[in-house]
Amino acid sequence: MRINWRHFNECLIVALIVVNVFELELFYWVRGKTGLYQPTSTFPSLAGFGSNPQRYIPAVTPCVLLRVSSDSCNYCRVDQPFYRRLAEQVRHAGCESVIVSPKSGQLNFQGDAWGTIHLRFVDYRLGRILVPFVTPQTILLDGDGHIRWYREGTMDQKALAKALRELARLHSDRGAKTG
Amino acid sequence: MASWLPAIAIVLLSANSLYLGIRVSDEISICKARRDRFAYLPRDSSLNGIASDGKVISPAVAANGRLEGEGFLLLFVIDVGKGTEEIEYWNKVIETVAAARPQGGRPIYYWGICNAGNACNQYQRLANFTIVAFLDLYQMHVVANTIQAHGALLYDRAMILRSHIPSSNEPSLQASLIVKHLRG
Repeated sequence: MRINWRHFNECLIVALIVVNVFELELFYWVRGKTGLYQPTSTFPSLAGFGSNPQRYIPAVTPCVLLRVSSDSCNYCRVDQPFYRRLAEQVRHAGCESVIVSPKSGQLNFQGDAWGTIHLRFVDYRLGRILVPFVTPQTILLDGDGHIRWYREGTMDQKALAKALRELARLHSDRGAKTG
Repeated sequence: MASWLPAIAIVLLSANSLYLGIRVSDEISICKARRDRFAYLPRDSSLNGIASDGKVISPAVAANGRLEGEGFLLLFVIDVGKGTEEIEYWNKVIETVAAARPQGGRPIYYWGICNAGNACNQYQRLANFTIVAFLDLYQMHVVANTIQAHGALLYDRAMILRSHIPSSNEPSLQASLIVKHLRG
């Protein structure tokens, strides 16, 4: 039997394209599973107790910036300029900024210029979803608790740019909703 | 079509396929490592919270840093949706455990963690245990992701996790499981 090389090559190319598409799909699917949170994760309202200690009842805001951090985490200090810049922008957008440490004595938070709330104790629903084993974590939630952007580990310029883009998108989405 | 074009396409597609294969394999390893890490139940604790009276609560600790009376601390979850039924269940468990243990033995401190913040506070006057509305994130994460229905976490005098007690719908059976883990 004589092999038709042209036909063979065409079949091989088609097969390789199919394999590549499958691998790409698999890559994004596994990557979605690798993160601390699924893209579809929904956070409950951030109910808890502040540092006074005083009950914290979250206000209705278009978004919330949630940060998991502790004083003993060196990486949490490294990305402060990026986090502060984001917190500042979040406050300008009329959203709330909340910081929580894995253990209640791990953060000596004295407050900041953007009125960030330090949550010392959390309720069951928030404790169930928010993973305390990785610091720092920076999470941008929309008003319905959906994750719009999050970063495990230190933030950098690229992460900040992405977060700010998402914040702007959130703002424009809200503008479109309210007409 | 030039004869070398298919050859180049095959080489490039094969290289890309190999590269993607390696990336997928890396992601699977990361995913597996993370799952193993988070499936591990931490033995240490961070037992600070807010009780039903709105005040900060921590276990009573003696001068040696251990639980007072060299006791135990049992954490369980109160499902607010079940109302007084849930309180009665744990009152019965506590009563049965007390009856099964010798008088003057090491004390057991019971903390019922509410699954809806302040919503269980109204039941404190009916409960023979401390109702806790809020906890440290670390401890709440462990409690909320470990305890199923009527299960419990038993901490020893050094506040190290001693046992994860499985769930039972029968208070007497739950009490006997707790007593068994206290002895073990």
